[in-house]
Amino acid sequence: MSPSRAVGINLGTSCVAIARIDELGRSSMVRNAQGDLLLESIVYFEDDELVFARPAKQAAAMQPNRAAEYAKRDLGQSAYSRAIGGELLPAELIEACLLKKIYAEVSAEGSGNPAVVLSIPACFDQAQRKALLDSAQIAGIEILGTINDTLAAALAFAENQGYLNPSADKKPGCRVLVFDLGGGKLDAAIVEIKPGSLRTLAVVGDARLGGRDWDLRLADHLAGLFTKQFGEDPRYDMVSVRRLVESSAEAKHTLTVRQQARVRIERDGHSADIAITRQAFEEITADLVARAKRVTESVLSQAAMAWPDLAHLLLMGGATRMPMIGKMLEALTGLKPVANLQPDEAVARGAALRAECLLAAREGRAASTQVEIVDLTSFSLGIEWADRQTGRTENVVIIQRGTQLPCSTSAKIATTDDDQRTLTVQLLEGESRKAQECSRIAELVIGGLPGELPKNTPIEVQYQYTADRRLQVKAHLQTSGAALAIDVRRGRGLSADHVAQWKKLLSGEVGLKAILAHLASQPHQPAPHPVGEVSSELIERRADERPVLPVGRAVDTGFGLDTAEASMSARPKNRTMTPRQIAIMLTGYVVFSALGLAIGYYVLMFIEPSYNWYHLPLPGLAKEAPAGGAVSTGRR
Amino acid sequence: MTNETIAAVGIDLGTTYSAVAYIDDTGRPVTLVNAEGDLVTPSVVLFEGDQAVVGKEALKAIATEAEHVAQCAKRELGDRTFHKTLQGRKYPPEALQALVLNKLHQDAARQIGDFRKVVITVPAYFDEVRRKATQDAGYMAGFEVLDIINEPTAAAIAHGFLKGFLNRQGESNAPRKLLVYDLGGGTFDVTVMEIREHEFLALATDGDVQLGGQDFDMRLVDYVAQEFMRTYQLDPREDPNTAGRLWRECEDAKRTLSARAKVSISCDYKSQAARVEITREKFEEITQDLLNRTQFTTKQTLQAAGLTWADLDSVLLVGGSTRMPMVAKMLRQLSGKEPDASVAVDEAVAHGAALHAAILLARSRGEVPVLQIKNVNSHSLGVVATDARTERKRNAILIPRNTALPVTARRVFRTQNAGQRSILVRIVEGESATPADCTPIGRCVVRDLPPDLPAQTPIEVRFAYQENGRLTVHVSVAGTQRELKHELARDNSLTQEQLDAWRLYILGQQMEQPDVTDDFRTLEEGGSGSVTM
Repeated sequence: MSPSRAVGINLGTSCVAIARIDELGRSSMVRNAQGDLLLESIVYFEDDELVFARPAKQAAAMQPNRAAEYAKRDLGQSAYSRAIGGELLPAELIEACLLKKIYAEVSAEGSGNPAVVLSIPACFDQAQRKALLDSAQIAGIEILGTINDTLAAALAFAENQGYLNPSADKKPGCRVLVFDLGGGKLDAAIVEIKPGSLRTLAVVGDARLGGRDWDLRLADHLAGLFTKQFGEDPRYDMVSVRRLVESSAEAKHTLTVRQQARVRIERDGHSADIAITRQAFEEITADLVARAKRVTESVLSQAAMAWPDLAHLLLMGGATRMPMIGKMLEALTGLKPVANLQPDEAVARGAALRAECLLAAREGRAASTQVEIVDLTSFSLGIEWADRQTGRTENVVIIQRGTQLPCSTSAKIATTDDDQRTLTVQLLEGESRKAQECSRIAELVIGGLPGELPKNTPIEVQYQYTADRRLQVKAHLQTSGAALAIDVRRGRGLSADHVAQWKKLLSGEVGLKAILAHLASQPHQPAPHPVGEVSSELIERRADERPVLPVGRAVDTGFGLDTAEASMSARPKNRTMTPRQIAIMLTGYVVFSALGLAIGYYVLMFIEPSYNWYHLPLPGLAKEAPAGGAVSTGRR
Repeated sequence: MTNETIAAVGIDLGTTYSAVAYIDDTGRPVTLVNAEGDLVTPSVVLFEGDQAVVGKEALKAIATEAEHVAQCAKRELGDRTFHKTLQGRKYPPEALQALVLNKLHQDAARQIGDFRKVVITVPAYFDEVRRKATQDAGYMAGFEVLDIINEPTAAAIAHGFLKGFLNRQGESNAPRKLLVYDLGGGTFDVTVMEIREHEFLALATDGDVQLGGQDFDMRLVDYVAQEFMRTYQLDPREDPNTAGRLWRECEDAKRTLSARAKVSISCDYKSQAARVEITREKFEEITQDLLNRTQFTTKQTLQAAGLTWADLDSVLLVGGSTRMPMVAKMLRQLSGKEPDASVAVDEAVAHGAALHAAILLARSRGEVPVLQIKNVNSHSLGVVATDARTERKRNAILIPRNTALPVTARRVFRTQNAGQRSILVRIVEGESATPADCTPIGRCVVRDLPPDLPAQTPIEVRFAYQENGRLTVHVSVAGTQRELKHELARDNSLTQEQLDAWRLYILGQQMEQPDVTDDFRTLEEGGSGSVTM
């Protein structure tokens, strides 16, 4: 076996960052062949090849229906939100394509197999975690382990501050707030850092709040302004929508540095440079900031601390570059953000450090940086309990959120009938008491019960979270202690078979053709939603606007772009007139009515010359009638 | 973090992009990303109100408000003012460069704490005037410039470091000869270097100030514009904003063409839109002459160094534009060697500069440096003298080009007339014997000579040329006490007062912008005297 080397991958919603452990045992960033630190998370599906990063972005501008971006937001959903080549693809497949490409680049960059730790957002639920791990499997990458984004960031900070040096024993510990606002999600955590150990004290997240939402909000705002001015919505097809959202993202970056940005919007020959000030941008996104603030406040209350208990504020994720985020956090916490940690890099670095620890343990050597990490569950684990009388279902929490990992608990259930052979348990994740407000993560089918058991036979089920958050379930008969078989049926996500099939397909050179052919040959492939024409409302999804529970999962609603103008496809062909058309029309009216009046007056003067009040020298009029000679001058 | 040593920082102040690196606590060069998270920062300045925005956002603004944006100021270093009036004001190019440096300084200081001492790089062919301007830019940005070194030298240092030349163990290495091919955004240069133990010696250097990646972009712009004109009889380049946007599109397309075989570029102007597809072959075809120019210079430089391809140990690629596959292909064919891009092409120069800074700082602390660098002068330096036989003015060269630095040269001239009261020494840079073809870089005058001085009195002129490219001129007249020491003054440089005013302005300590147009130092004319050979 060739020696392995530790690599950390932060597969972000908008960008991927990769770090490794260098010869000196320290984390450092990996550049791609083009010298870039970050790779845009975009896949463009050519017929016979896959295109990534910048070239993919450029190609996507022309043919967005072949490009998949921000797919991480759709992990845990049945499919990526927009059709690629007319078909809905699993988000896992798209992420797998990205991972495979990254892995190939990292492999080429040095000798030895990369031993990968993948960072995962703290706010990801079991389904999303599984989907991400499935992506790695489809990509054919053996994952050494995972780490939460927030803990990874804290780990990179700990390295930076020298907490991981063997000589740092005496260094006093500190507590830090990690605020990680990425392209697609927000995580906030309070982490205690001590020499050689990191402990998460509280963690809260929002899987539906990220930089992307700022882009979309700005895009909507600008489209609204344009529509008001020209009477036409600049979002009429996928190309125009994508272009608008892209320029909005650019404008967002500009507004980080400048007070004003200009966005050029075009439709049907109208073009406008619409200006947006930083202040206006902050006003239209104030609610998003407020949501981020609520998440931050709730992490503090979960940790039962006060702001002065925290020593440092770590800002992670590109979206924290927006001044409004820094302002909000500084006002809230009274802390200045740590400046020497790169918001794009730290998570990948932390993941690489974790990889080094795990790799060293596997190889039985001393790691260059030995550090223990303790993480918490992000959601409460519960089982569904149906009240027979009211018919309501409740979530009975068996492992509280914020419980230190690894952890386990056991719960008793009982058979409800005589001679019952199987028992079903619904596993839930979430904080609500109502089962339908929680995420249904799996159905446990406990089988192999010996026959002729009486009603109410107790069965003990043991739930165990491993340190990297995998859930394991065991069951046995309490009376005899006999172990029972459990079939875990995941509600969402790909089945093991599908994962294997996609993996096989991706192992060769593939393009869209091969993928579509594969889908066609698999009529039972997951397509729970009818695959049809994708309307423009579906082009972009929006974050849930409802106030979210500070913790817990936001319920997914596949919102389209908002505002009434957005429902373009439903509207009959646009009939409102452009200002130019209106101007031409009005000019026409004026010219023709003036002409008509003139002719009418001329004719009138022929009939009654005394009507020539203006003494116009008109040919054909013999002479002006003497004043007073006309009967009808009385009007004057 | 905790130790109090001064950070060794190197800055690659490029025409289109700049980069900063420092030496971390393990002694290795590390590139510092800017506030936007990028390794390189566009050397572009946007003036917005009383604020100067530098970097990516300024670059973006070219597409919308080109009239407020200054780019490629490096190409105009040495000129009195930048060609463009920005918000009604004229700026010296070095002030624009200083604004770029200030941004780099601020972003880097966020990560490694504040620092003042830096090494800045310049192209090898930069003459004295432009070196001084670069140094002034550093001063205005609040730096103490430790040294100005050549970009290829810096790249070779970074290479040498990576390949272990700079370790103590590397001493036994056989001497190596390298060719550094540096194709940046706006400039091209090629240098043949010899690395002997710890000595870096430039054997020959040549370049082209007006050739770089941007010229490749412009070819694409022209191509797209012509295709557009063929369809619509409209030239999208007429409008500066459209041209700016098209340029950005084309730059992106160029990068894409490094990875893919074809790309589409969209162009719209006056509500007409076109999508132009271009393949890598076509792109290589329309830029062939540009590449050939670099090929020609490369061959010539190798010849000037007296070497053949077989003598070279490696060919180093430096500069973002060397990512174009055609560059490596051309060099592979030419040299029969695989071009080496093992030090990231964008970062190599900054890394080398940081390493050099570390050496200088170590030396100032009294430690024995681990490497030495020998530069050569890239242009011959001489004085204008009258040939005694032909009575013609000619350039009497004191220091021929490609002489290892530091160097002191002397040459004896004679007065022309009896009773000559003053002597004018005009210093020029250039290879031609005709002074008109050379660049005047300074002048000095020896006055108040004794009235009875006979004709043909020997005058000794000494040139002391430092490693950092600074020139000191000594003139002494035999039989008199008249002696003159002259640090090169140049017509276009700013006075110390102006430099200080700009420094305060750029560092944000003074809101009032210094004046540019007046008060340039005018040097007195040298009277009737002149010198003869």
